[in-house]
Amino acid sequence: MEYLKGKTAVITGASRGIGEATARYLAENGANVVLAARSQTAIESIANDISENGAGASAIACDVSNHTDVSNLMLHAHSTFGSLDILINNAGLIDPIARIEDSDPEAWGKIIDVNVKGVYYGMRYAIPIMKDHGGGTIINISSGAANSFLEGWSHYCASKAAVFRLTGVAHKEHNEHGIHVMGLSPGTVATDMQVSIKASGINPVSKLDASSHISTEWVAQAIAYLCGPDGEKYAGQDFSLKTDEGRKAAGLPGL
Amino acid sequence: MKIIHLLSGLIAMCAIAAQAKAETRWKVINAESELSFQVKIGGSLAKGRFDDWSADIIYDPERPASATVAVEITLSSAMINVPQAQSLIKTAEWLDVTVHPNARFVGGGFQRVGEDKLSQKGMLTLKGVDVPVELLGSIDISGETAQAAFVAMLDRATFNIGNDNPGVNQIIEIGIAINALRVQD
Repeated sequence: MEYLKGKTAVITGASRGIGEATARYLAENGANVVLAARSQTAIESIANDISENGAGASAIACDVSNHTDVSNLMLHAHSTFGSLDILINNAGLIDPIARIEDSDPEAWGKIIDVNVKGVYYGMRYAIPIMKDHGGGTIINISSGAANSFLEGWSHYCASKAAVFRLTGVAHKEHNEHGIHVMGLSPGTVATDMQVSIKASGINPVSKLDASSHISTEWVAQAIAYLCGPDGEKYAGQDFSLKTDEGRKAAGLPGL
Repeated sequence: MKIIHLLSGLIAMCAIAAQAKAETRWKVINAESELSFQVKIGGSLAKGRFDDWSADIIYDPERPASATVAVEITLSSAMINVPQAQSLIKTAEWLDVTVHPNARFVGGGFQRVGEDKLSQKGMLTLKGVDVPVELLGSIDISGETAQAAFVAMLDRATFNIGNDNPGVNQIIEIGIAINALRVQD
């Protein structure tokens, strides 16, 4: 993947799951990566691991629901590697899963702070840098929940629907500046999030067999694909890994 | 008992005083130091600098995390190599030097980043706005002299600098190059 060589990618929620796999995969393909997560310890060790394999990696503690943290994250990437070409807005929460009447308003609001405001802050502070440099790619991790109604997931469905609209508006505003903004709906992925979903016992997703989840490496590969020249085709939309054509386009086995 | 308390208090105070005495201060050699900035205007890189600034630096290479740095900048000393920008830079729309004559940076300890870089987080007060910023760079000490080179990226919109000027890039790169001498106690 020549197009990733020397590019600088910021990945939020990089301490585990999709974020960690994406950071490793983009770095393996020549990108400099900036790993962000609330706790410094895990990302620091992943970044060291990546650096030992010869790629540029930096870890910075960042709470995506804090706009100052997010602004500093983007400026840190720019200071460290001289550019900011790719932003993967991956940080997202689903716990606690609860029906609306049982839900905790504080916890509900926290999910919106991370899943919605976190994505907005990421774009808010990455776009000016990308614009200065003539373009970039922003991938917002989406979900089937953006377009469906699942019991116990009012926070998650509302947040992912909001992110879908943020993707569309950002595309409308910045496509002309060479900034390609798209969503990636990966389907169910073998991460800690699926462990929480299973434990909740609420709604059909919690009943899925673990073998139906795809690996984080597949999602990372799809993200790398969307960062390439083909990605532009999906700008302003959600690219889905739950369809045969989506999987094949990303170079993954079909359904 | 009271005497023991008093004694241990005194010992603690002496220890603090001893620590304070061990502070390593650095004096900036103005002629060999520069506070610069650069930004693209209409697609080409414009470079500028501030000629009037001072820095109070306490830095012990053995204890980088306990460093403190305070920089005071006289904004009216701003120079930029684009004549049209020079004529505007001090006006209310840009640095507004009449209302806000000085900018200030107060930084805390340095943290190691990767193998050879240092990161310092601090608070920048510019045009009446306080924003946390990060400096990234390195310090080389040989004998009694130190050379430091750091960069910081600022989003000018955060400080209401030159809003509604899409022809000027939004991110300003600040460069600080310092040559300093260790101050003897």
